[in-house]
Amino acid sequence: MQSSNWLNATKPTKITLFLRTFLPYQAWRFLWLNLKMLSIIRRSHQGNP
Amino acid sequence: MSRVVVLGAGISGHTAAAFLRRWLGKHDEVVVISPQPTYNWIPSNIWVGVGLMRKEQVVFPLAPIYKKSGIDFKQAKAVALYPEGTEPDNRAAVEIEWTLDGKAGQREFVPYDFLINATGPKLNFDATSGLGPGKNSLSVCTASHAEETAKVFLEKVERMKRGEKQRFMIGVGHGGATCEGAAFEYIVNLEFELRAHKVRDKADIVFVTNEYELGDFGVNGVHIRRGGYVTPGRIFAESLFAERGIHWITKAHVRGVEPGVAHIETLDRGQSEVGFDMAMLLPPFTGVGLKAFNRKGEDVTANVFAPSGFMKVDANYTKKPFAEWKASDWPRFYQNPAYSNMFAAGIAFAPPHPISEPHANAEGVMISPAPPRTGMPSAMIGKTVARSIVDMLRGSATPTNAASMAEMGAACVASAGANPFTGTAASITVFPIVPDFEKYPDYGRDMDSTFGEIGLAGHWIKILLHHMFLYKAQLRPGWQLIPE
Repeated sequence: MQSSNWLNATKPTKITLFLRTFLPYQAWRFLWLNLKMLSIIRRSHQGNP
Repeated sequence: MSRVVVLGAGISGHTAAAFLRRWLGKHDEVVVISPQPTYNWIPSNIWVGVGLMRKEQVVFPLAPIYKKSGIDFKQAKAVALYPEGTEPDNRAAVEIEWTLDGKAGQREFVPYDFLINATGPKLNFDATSGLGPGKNSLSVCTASHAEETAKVFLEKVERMKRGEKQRFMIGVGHGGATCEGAAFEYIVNLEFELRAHKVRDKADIVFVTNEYELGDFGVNGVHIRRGGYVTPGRIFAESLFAERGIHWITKAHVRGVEPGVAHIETLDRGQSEVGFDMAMLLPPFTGVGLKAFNRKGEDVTANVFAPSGFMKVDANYTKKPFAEWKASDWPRFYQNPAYSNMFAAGIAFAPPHPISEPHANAEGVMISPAPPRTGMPSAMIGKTVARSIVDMLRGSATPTNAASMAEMGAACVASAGANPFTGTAASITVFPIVPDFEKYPDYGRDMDSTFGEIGLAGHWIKILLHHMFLYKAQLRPGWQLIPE
């Protein structure tokens, strides 16, 4: 089997891993991501019903 | 009085039917023809497939919803189209074969003024020998498949708890398959659940994909601004696998699946055999095999459908090299060029060409992803086609609304582990779905609207979308306010 080159893959730092599930930060990202996605949806609907 | 017939009750067909019913008058008929009695919110099948959800949580019966809404539902499969009518009836019609208990096998003609083909795909397990449920591998393409997959997965978990080692092979089962994103979601959820069951150390997990590199997802990958660089999606996809200890085999075509062994060919390493204890490999898609006949009864299928079985629409199907592909090749109205009262929505329309650069092996088998048509574009296309048909019934000579995949974006939330405190998901948006290198010369996409990140917030959004879209699909009060 082809061996995957894990050593050469980019890996997250401890702080990145921590922030992924850090509730206050994720609550902010939840709001930000929803607004960002809504803007994409609105843009995609432009000129359409 | 007019009649609009919708073939298929998946995301695209169901959306089209719901908006047609809302926008058309009481005397106009909306007919939905689907062989399945239920609606399936397919994006959540991956959670059924690891035992986190029951099948009943991702499906609901269509008949009561349609009865309440005034939509005529026929549980049947479409067999053939007669767009010029049949002797002596001049009206265009679709021939259907009932699948409903008590009427199964009976055929009838359903006349229409407008037709939307939203049948979705045929799951072409036969393209690879030994592939698929009932043979040597599993699937999460349908809720039933996912339920069966969960049973096997949980049985493997029990074996690992008894100390046995197991190898899981997840991915796509043919060089020309699509839905790499779904396979990606399934494998990271499977890995997460193995950790939750405390048996991760007993598992070897392998991802098999026809993508030239990880993170392609059939849309030629994405580039994302992060840490002061514009970074290809491959970096993030490889990172996700590396931190989870998942192996990957890219550029792969599965030639055959035997009990416990997959025969795999890759573009750069030739053929090999890889063993497994459980394999979940998604099949390639084709059209459902509808035929079309003219008024004389002559077969005109080739005029209406592409060789893949998907319906031809207003796309540029001229064969040309990858470097000459343009965003403008992609359809805007989804209207069949031969018959102006037929449209195709969602997976049922024939794409003009792949989005990812194609590659083939020495035998000419394509080893590159087919273009995905995920939930958001499928629903948007269904709604757009419905609006055009309503306007055409009111006098417009041509379709009034466009929804090109080269002009619309997509928001995608890919689960990477389901837990309200420790779960994560990748939240990704791309704009447009089909890269437009004339408009965005650097990366083909608007970098302000193309982004991605992984975190717990994404999982919360995924849960929110599950409930929100099931609410919408059940046509509950205010459903139309929820965007596609």
